[in-house]
Amino acid sequence: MSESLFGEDVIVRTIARLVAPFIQLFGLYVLMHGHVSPGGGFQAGVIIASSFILLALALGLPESKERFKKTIRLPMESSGPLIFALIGVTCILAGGYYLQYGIAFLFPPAVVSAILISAVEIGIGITVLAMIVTIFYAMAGD
Amino acid sequence: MIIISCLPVIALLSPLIGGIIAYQAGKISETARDLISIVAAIVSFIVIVAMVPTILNGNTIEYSFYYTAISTLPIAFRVGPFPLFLGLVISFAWILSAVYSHRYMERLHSRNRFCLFMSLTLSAVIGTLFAKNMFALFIFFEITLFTSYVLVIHEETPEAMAAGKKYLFLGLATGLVMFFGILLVYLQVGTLDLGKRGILDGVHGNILYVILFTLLVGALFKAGMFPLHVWLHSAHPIAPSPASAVLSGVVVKEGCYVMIRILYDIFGVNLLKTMLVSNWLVLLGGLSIFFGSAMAIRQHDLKTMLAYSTVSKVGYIFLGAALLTPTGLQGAMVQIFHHLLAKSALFFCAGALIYKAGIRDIDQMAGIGKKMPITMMVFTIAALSMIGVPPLVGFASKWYIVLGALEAGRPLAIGFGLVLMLSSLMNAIYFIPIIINAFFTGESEHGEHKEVRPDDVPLSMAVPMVILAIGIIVFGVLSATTSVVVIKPTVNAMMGL
Amino acid sequence: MTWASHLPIIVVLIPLLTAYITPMLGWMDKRICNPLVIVSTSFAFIASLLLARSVLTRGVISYHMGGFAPPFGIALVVDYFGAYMCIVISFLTLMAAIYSREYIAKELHESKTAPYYTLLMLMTGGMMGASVTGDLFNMFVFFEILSISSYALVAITGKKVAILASYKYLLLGAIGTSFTLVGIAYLYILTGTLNMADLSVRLASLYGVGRSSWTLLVALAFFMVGYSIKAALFPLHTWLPDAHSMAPSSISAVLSGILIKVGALALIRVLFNIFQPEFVVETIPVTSMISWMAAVAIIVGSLFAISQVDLKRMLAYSSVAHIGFIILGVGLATGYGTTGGILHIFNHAMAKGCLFLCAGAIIYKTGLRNIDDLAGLGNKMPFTMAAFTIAALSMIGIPPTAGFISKFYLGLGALETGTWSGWVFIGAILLGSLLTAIFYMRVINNIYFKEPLHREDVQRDETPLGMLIPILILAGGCVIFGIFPRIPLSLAEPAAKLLLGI
Repeated sequence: MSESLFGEDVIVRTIARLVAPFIQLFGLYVLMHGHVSPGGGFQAGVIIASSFILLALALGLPESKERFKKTIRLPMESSGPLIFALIGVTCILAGGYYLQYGIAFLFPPAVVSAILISAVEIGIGITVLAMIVTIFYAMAGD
Repeated sequence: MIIISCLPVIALLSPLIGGIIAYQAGKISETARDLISIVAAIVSFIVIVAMVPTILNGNTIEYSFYYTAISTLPIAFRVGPFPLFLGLVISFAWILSAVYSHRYMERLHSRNRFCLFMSLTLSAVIGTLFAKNMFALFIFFEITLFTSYVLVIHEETPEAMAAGKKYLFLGLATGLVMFFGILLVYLQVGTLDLGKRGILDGVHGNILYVILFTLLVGALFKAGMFPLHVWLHSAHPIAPSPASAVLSGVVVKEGCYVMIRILYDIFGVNLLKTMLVSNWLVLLGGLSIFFGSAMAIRQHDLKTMLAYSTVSKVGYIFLGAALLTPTGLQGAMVQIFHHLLAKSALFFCAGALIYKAGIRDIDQMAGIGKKMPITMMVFTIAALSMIGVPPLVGFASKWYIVLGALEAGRPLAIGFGLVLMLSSLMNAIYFIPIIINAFFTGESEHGEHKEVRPDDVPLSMAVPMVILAIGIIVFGVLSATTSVVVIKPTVNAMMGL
Repeated sequence: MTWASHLPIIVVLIPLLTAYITPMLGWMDKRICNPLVIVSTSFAFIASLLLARSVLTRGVISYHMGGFAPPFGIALVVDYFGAYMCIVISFLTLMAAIYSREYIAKELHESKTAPYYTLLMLMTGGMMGASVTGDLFNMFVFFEILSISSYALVAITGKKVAILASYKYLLLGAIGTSFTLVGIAYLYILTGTLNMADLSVRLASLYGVGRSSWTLLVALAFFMVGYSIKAALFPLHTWLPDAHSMAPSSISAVLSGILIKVGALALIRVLFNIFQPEFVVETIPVTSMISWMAAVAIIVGSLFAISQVDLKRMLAYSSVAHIGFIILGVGLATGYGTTGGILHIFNHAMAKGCLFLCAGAIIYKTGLRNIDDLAGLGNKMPFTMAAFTIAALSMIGIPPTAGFISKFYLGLGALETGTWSGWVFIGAILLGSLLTAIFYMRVINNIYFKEPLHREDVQRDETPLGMLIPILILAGGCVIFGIFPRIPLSLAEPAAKLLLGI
């Protein structure tokens, strides 16, 4: 199971290695533009996760896992929703309802709302990224 | 006048707490355990005695836990004359039983448990007596079932377990039927208070008969009345003798008490008269008398015979109460009192025979009177009272019941006279041979009790028996006085005269 | 806004936040998990009590998530019933969490400690959320959270039978979820809203209007079937005996004690909050249908329980019968009946929680599961067995335990309907009570009055204190709330009145 699907095919390995950072970059773009354009944390997480899946397919499971260790994945899985929930709590502390972004807190409401929504999206992205990869690894025989 | 006092609660809690302390003490010292349980019963008795003057002056004592149970149905206590005097006798009988069981139980296992559940049963019975409303009454009524279940199955033999199973499940089933009746009453009139002499006044229709039937099923089961007696002849004999004495003497009386409360407080005399059920209830009582006596004659096991005799005596109580006349109720109350004393004494005697000579069978009793004179003298007095020989207290009760029947009407009186004569005759048939056999026949050749030396039971077992026998004689002689001082006011309070 | 007005979200957030933190901390040190969970559940319990107090003083609380007013935003709506459920959920979870400390150390592999607590907290968060939400789709989401975590918890021991039971549970649970999702979709098509209060108003104009009323009925049918599976209402209970008997006992207590009650909560919400009582009681007699099913559940569940030899399986079947009591009370749709049903949620949670924890303690100490092998345990584990007996008496409904009070209310409710079917229902209640007595008395007789096979079995060997304390608290609750039933009734009564609109 640990062997790559494509054996020692140089083309596949090289292209996959080359493409992966771009996929991740695109993921980050989708993440950061989530609150103004189509996209968001969930989609971004899936896109970034797909880069690791590509690496696993091309380079084999062990090599992919080497780049994304369990010790990193585990905190990421938990911290995502934690960020989400804590942003909600921040809104309460700032005097609004839970997850009420449009509040005046150090900055005007519009700015606060942009910051907080981005932060929530980042949280979602982190979790989805880690979870998708974990599920893939688990199904691949982790 | 209503006096708020927590005395009834103390009477209830003292055996409860005493029993738990005794259970713990029993792990260290058996004597300490028995002493504590006796003291707890005595405290309960004294507390009840302390309430006597207040009640005799025509007051009632009440106490409510307002925050317990459901808003309109708190766990509350009310002591009138009837509960008080019954409670007085019951707690006294309990002291005797606790004293008696000290030596009797020493040969049996799980003594601590027995002691605990005896105390819990006393507590639950007192709670039933003093309950202010049917809700609280039912709570204690059901607790009694479970605590006495443990007494019934004390021996843990397959027979005991089978008898206990019958007792428990029939008790639960009839209890549920009674619960259904209570729900019906509550929905009809919105109250379950027991102090109004007929809370169902103003309700019409067939629902009344349903309520009467369902409520009586529960009460008559516990009392061991005729169609619901099936558990009694197996459960009472199988328990250890002190437990048999309180089961037959006291727990059955709890059922009779509840039955009287249902007839006189839930329905009331007037309503029952318009419902025209009196004759049927009297007939049921008559059947119970007849059936119980007939079955008792057939028995060879002494304790089973005594248990069947209970069925018959409960019939008297029910009959007296169902006549719906003051004198009939008076007779029922005297019968409750008499049966409590006499049946406890008889079971104590049966226990003494088992303890000393290992005898359970009537045929083995030939000549035992010479070896155990005190036991058999007590037995004779109690048996004669059961038959209804004057001047013993059993006679007084039959006398009042007959008077009550005459008050109620002529056809009933004639029918009842026949039942009474027949049952007295039957009582004589099963008791007299035992007495003659015990005193005037030589030992049989098999001589099951040859090894028994001619000394009697230990003092702690003899004293309760003798006290009961004296009670039977004294209250028989003084029956006219007690009737005026105690019974008459009680009856008047119940009937609303 | 005072901090108290945020309580609806706080009770949901506390367990969920704990669920996110637990795996990280557990990754560092496994011993932290249990104290963390206990502390956070205690806070959730206190928050629930405060929530109930503020509901009692201020009436129904509506909390607008994100500041968007309903029907556009998601609202948390806490009525008496929701607050009541929060208390029950957090209380029983707290007991299970205290109990888990020593129980889990023995029953589960060390590597599963952190996942166990995470899933437990996720499930609690899901249950809390389903209780307080005022939005139909939001409720669906919370139901998914609690269902999925419960599937995992059933299988957490990793034994083959447990995985099989979990799989069965998952299949039926997934069917239930899809049914409710379809129901939600239908209602959304009809009305264009998902807010419960808004739905209730908009649906009222659709009752009996042409083809839309058919859609309405289909939606109602989907909801009934879907949530009946979650509540394990007969005949959709088939997953319950396996799942509840195979899960670790602390989880069985939570599953049987509250999780199926959340299914009942969803049924109540659909019947009385989304559809109006007049519609489901009179126009389409859904309530009488589920009452009949519940009456059958009481009898059949009890009969199945009688035939069991495995203690935990018997308890699981007993849950089938008792969810019948709860649903029957709800279906009666009378003041007393619904109060009784809601009250029984609490009383059954305590009693069944206690029984499962006792069963766990027996397994922990002796490894016995078979009812006939329990002889002599009365001397071996006196306190545990005393608690077991009290809880069993409460299940039977013997005064003065809490079960008697709910039986009293349910009986009054059945008679209050004044129809012949009411008499049948009370017959089912009383017969169910008697049948319950049969199988619980068998266990009690075995524990106390049967000669043990080996004399050495009766050596005093009590459950460890950490496990004994929750057991005793629950057993004490069975008695205390039987003598002082007005404490739960102070919430249950207004809850029923508000739901029925009387």
